[in-house]
Formats: sequence, structure tokens, C-alpha cells
Amino acid sequence: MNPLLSVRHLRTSFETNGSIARAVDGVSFDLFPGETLGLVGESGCGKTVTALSILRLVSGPTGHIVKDSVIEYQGTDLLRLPPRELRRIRGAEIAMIFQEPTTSLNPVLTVGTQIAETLRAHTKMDRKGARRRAIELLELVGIPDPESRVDDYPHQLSGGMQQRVMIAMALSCDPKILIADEPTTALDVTIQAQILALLAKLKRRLGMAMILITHDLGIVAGLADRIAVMYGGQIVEQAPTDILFQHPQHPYTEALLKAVPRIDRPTTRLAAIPGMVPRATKWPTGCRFHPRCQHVWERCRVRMPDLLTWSPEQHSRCWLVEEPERRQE
Amino acid sequence: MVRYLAVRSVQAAAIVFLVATLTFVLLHLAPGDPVIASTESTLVRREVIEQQRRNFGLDRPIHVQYLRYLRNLSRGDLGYSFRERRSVWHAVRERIPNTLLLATAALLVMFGLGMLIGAVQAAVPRSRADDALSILTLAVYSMPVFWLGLMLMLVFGLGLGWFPVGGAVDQVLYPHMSLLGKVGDRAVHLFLPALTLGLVGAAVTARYQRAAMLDVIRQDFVRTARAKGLSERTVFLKHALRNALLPIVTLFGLTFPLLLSGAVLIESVFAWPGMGKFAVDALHGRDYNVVTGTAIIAAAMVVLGNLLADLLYRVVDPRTRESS
Repeated sequence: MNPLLSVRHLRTSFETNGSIARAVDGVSFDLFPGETLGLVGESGCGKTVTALSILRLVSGPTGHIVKDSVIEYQGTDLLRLPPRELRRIRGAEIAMIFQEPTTSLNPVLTVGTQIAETLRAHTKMDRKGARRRAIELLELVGIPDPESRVDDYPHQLSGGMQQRVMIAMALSCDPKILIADEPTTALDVTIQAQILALLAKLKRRLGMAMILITHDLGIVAGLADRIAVMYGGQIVEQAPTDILFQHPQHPYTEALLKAVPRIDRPTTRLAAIPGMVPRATKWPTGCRFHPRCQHVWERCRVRMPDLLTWSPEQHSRCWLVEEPERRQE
Repeated sequence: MVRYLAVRSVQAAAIVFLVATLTFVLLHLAPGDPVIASTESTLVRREVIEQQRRNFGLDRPIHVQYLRYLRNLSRGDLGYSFRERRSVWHAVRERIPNTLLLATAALLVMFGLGMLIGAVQAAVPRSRADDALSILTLAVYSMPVFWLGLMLMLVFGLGLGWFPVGGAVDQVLYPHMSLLGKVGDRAVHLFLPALTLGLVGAAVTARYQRAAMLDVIRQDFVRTARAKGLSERTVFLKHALRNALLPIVTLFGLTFPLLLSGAVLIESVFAWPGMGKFAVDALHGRDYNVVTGTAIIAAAMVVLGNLLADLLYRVVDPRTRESS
């Protein structure tokens, strides 16, 4: 099966006060039709910038995608598409929802207007048709009383309802790919569960592929088919969800899993990963995780490993793949 | 809404009362009075002056005069103009339209030109055009308004002869003009004073507009609009500009006092027969009632302008429409 989306050595940099932050530094992955890929990692590891780069939303004078990066969607490289044609992909073929629904919706336009304008940008629908469809979409995402809600302004809705509107907007043109960037982080725990259930249901029903970005392993565990773990602007481990959870290969993945509190085992204290995420302006030499790694040896400090193949399905950016005897228990 | 308007009316009345009191007290504490000011010759006999003061009640203690003024004011009577020899209201009434015309035209220049320049700058931030316009707006903003008026008058009025340099209409020919001719005559007379009064404000507006746009353009919902596949034009004009209007409306509310005080200067420079020039002339002649009366009318205009800005806010920002 051909991948729907192929990202190859994506590099995105930001220039800040003379120094260059390599926020995304050589990320490659495939997304297949109908699949959900979880992109996991701590804040500052480059998840969001990866997502924004796909639709070329890293804009402004400071951020840019480095030239030899490739983002291939159904055979066309999005990075080389003229703006006009890129706009036909944005929102129609690849849609996106964001972390903060409150700030991601325009405060001075009604939610109906905001949904309808997506429809009108990509289809030949007239004003009335777009409004009717907007009401249907609001109903689809489980907003009660959609006929009157369609004329509400974002501030008249709760955070959970606002995120439902964002989802309705993203799904309005039946996209093939939905990129969800921390879609539940800003919401209450109970609302989080509802939104995730909604996303899972809609994904099944519409058969689209999804990139789910989160720092919360619990969220991807239930939703993702495959997981890519990011650290320091790179993917450090990639595997199907169950394999990753049962046999993590990269020490960072391992540490992340240990940091999840368990209710089925007695625990005295929460496990945290020592140290902090390094800054994108100054990545460590060698393996980027080595200053925080418990297995570290000389080779890690000097040379950065590639994404090495552990099994056909599992890849880890760690020298332990080549020297498993170095693993310390 | 009704409650809101009621509160605002009470506030307005309080402000007008305060302005009337302050103006009245300050004027009466200043040396001189209308009788002295109107008497050019020192040879006028003392008894005549005293007689005139008695006629106008100016010999009474200040608090008596003040209470009488308030009593008249509460009936809508602004008093008698010593210089015009008729009621203040009659004298002011024929000058208000001129001031309103000048202020409205200046507002159009200020917001039309200012928002346009600011939006253009924000569309190409940190470019040469942006830098050039920033320097230009800062330069205009730094100019004293009367000096700018004199310079424009010098260049476009006296030098190039494109526009008349004073008055609201052509004194001689105006009565004999056709309707279209009258409109044209008013327009050419209005051009320079309105431009002068509006330009400084336009510079301020442009700087606000640029900053507001650049602030909005970074926000999440603009990114959402782009992610939806909207054109840059739609993103800029529909999503960014509408939101950048909010600080501009605030500026609009703050503009009225500046506009009226600017009008005082500009009307004097361009011999514009409006309220501002009338007030300045009255001040020189210690025409108490005219000064106080025009101050009250100006205060009322400022209050109304602020009310207008508040109502505009409700139009522009749905979040302020709540619970009314």
C-alpha cells in the first residue's frame, strides 16, 4: 500500500536573535490511508512544528523549512506547490485542529460563518447551502440545538463545544487527513474523554487518516495504530502501539512509560526523567538524549545514531540496538 | 440597554455641570471683565463702567452670579453675549454646523487615511515601504498642528494657489452660486483645514492600526484561517482587520477631545467661522457667557462621541454585547 503522506528529512528552523533554533531536525515518517499515527513527546520536542510544517503554516520572517525537506501528499510535494494550489489542499484534503479552541476561533465571527467559509472556499456551495451544511456538521459533532448554535459567537460556547466546532470545521470538506495537535490538552478531563471518543468515532465513520499529536501516552494508547516518539526535533522511536508499549527500545520511550502513574501497581513516588529538554538552539552532541540517559556510554556522547532497525516494524534511534548488552537493568 | 443609556445620561449631566462650574470659576478669577475688555479707551468715565457692570450684574458676589448662571442653565438658557449683543445660543447655533463639518471631515481623513496606511504597513512589515511610512507618520505626529496648518497654507494656498487660505465659503461670490457651485466652494474651503486637523490624527491612527494588525496576525485564529485554505486576502481583510478594529474604536473614543481642541487652533489659523474660533475670540474679550457656553457644548460633544464609541464597540466586538 502506498502511503498517503510521506515526510522525508523535514527540517524546520527558526531564527531568534542571531541564533538558529533547529526545532525539527530531520523527521521522516509515512502515514497510510485510514491509519492513526500518534506523535508523542515532551513540550519543545518539535511535535507541533512538524504538524504546522506539513501545511506550511510555519510562517513569518523567523521560521522556515529547510530546502531539501520533502512532504509528499499523494505524489505531490507540498513544499514545492504554488500557494494557490497549496490552498486547495489546506482544509479540503488535509485539515487541522489545534490545542486551544478558545484562541483558534475568530472571536468576532459566528461559528456558522467560520464553518461556512471553509465550505465556500473549497466547494461551489452557495451561502444558504453552506449554512445548512454547517448545521449538519454541528449536529455530527454532537452539539445540541445546532440550528440556534450556528449563530453563536465562540465566546458563547464552552471549551469542549468550541473544540467540537473546530472539529466540525476541519471535517467540513471530508479531508483525507486530519492533523489533531493536542486536541484535548486545554480541556477538562471529562471533556477530554468525550472529545477523544468523538474523534475516534468520526475517524471510523469517515475513514480518514489522522496524525494525533500529544504529550499524553494515555491518549495515543487508545487511539493510535502506530506511534512515533519525538525528542530533540527528531523521531527517536517508531513502532506499532502495542509493541511500543510492551517492548520500548529507546531509553527515552522507556522513561516516558515509567513516568505514567499506574493504578494497578503500588507506587511510592512518581518517576520523572531527570534533567530538561535541551534547547533547540543548542542540541547536545552525539545522541540528543544522552545527558538524561541512564545507559549512556562513550559512543553516545560522540556520534548520533540513525533510526536503527530493531525489527521490521520497530525502529529506535539508539546505539543499544547495535549493542544490546550495554543495557543496564 | 435602557439602563445603560440612563447611567450614561446621568454621567453626561454630571460632566456638563462640572465643566460649567470650572469654566465659570476660572474665568471669574482671571483678571479683567467684559466691560473693561470692550472699552478701548481709558477716557471712559468710571461711573459709566460701574453702571455697565451693574446692568449685567457683574458687581454681585461671585457665588450669587454662579447660582444665577446655574438657574438659567437648568432652563437651557446659556445667557447673553456681551460682544455679540444677543443670546449665546443664537450666536453659537450658526457656528456649530461649521465646526461639525470640519470635525467630521477631519475624522474621515484621520481614520480613512490612517487605517489605510497602517494596514498597508502591516501587510508588508519591516519592508522599505513600512519603514518609510513609519518615519513619515512619526514626523507628522511630531508636528504642531498649527505649524502644519501654516505650512500647508503656504504651499497649497499661497504657493500653488490650489486652495483658498481662509473662511468657510467665498464671501463675495457664494450667494450667487448654483447649488453645485456652493457645494464645490465649501469643499475647496474645507480641504486644507480638514486635512491639517486630520493628518496628525491619521498618523496616530496609522501607528495604532499597524501595531494592532501585527498583533492580530500572530494569533491562533489567523493560523486557523490559513489552515482552512482561505486566501491571504480573505485572511487579512476578513479575519485580521475586523479584530484589529477593536483598538481603533478605543482610539476613536479618545479622539473627540483632541479633535475639538485641535479645531480651536485650526479655526483660528484658517479663519474658519466655527465654535472654536468663536470661543477664542470670546476669551480675549472676556465674554464670560460665550466661553462657558461653548465649553459646555464642547463637553456635550465629547460625551456624545464617547457614547458613540461605546455603541460602535458593541457592533464590532460581539463579546461586549452580553447581558443587555
